[in-house]
Amino acid sequence: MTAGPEAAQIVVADDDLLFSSNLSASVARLGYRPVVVRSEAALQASLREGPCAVIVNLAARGFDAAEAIRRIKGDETTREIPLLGFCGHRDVERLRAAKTAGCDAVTTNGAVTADLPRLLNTLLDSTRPPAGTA
Amino acid sequence: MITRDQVIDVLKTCFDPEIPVNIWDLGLIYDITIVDGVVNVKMTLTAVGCSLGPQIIAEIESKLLGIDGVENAAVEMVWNPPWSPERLTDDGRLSLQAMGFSV
Repeated sequence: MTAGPEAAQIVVADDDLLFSSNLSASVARLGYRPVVVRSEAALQASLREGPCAVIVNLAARGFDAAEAIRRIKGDETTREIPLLGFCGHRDVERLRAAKTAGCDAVTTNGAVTADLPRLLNTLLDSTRPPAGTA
Repeated sequence: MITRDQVIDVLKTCFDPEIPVNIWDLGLIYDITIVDGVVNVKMTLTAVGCSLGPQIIAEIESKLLGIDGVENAAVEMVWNPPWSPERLTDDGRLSLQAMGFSV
């Protein structure tokens, strides 16, 4: 499946070329329009486009992922955007910090690589407002 | 005499801790030169400015010094051209695909 120009946008916030290219391809295959950002400024700018989700590499070197999550969830204009964070399974501190910062779901490098469709569906389902409240 | 294959065999034992494929098969190695007993390696990482860079360099240099005849070994990080999936070896590509990467 290839995303058309009107496809819902998913932001991939990741400065690792391996993971970001892989996630971008996976997101496109799912019919979404991927937007890869590699800095917090670019991430903040991408949020103005109204993405339906953001996937964040919690181990990104170009920005502080936990701080970025905290900012997104602390701003009433962006707090409803579902966030999926990922990093190495041994990186317990980063996973915990992301949850504390308000990340809606966290997972591991292996899971986000092998199981993105299910993870995205679960994330979007769990963060979708109940019918009639939107 | 130190051979390029000896160096490559050593590089295949080194990993970026974030990625379970060795640095040779990931295509991170840009250049190897061997002059007398000195081995120089130019390499990149998938993330510019990765904080693990110094740790990876130290591991490679230490392992290269373990090759019989190597008197000095130096690894230089370069960021141009940036890494891309086209640099993967066939083995690296298969390994990543087995893990679910679409490369």
